[in-house]
Amino acid sequence: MDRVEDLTANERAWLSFLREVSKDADPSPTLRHVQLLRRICALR
Amino acid sequence: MSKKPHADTRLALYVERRVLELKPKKSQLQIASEAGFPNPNMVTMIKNGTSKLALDRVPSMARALECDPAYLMRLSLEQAVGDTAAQAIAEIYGTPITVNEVGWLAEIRDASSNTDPRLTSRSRAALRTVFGR
Repeated sequence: MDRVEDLTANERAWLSFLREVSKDADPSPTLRHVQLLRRICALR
Repeated sequence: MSKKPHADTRLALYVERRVLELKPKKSQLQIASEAGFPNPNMVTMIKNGTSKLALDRVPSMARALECDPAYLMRLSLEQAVGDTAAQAIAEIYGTPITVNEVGWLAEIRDASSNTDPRLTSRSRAALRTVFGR
């Protein structure tokens, strides 16, 4: 099983923010989410 | 003392939601039976907060509710011992990541070509928009 402790500091920050913004509802990454992530990463 | 000491806990609300989502597929009695509860009313009792979900029932309940066991365990632990104690347990034993969270991390790694991107304020704002917060 994957654990938060095995992630990088940046990944932990992403995960922590995702939990916060989704009210810890454990959402699955939808196509819309994936497209958004690609846009975010392309802007760097 | 309240007759529903666990009402409105995140676990009670989540079980209620999953039972509703599974309604076209299986009844509450089936869920109770699949989870191995001798008392068929146990799911109702968990939903309305009369009873809490025993930690040793989490794996079978997760299968019955067709949900992520790591997520259900997180909620159950919080319900059983409270936020602070659950955090202390997570600090010592580690915090499991759900299948959905693994999916998110895989997408982030893929979208960034494994460059371990920082969570910028722009990323936060974009995600807040998607989640409506």
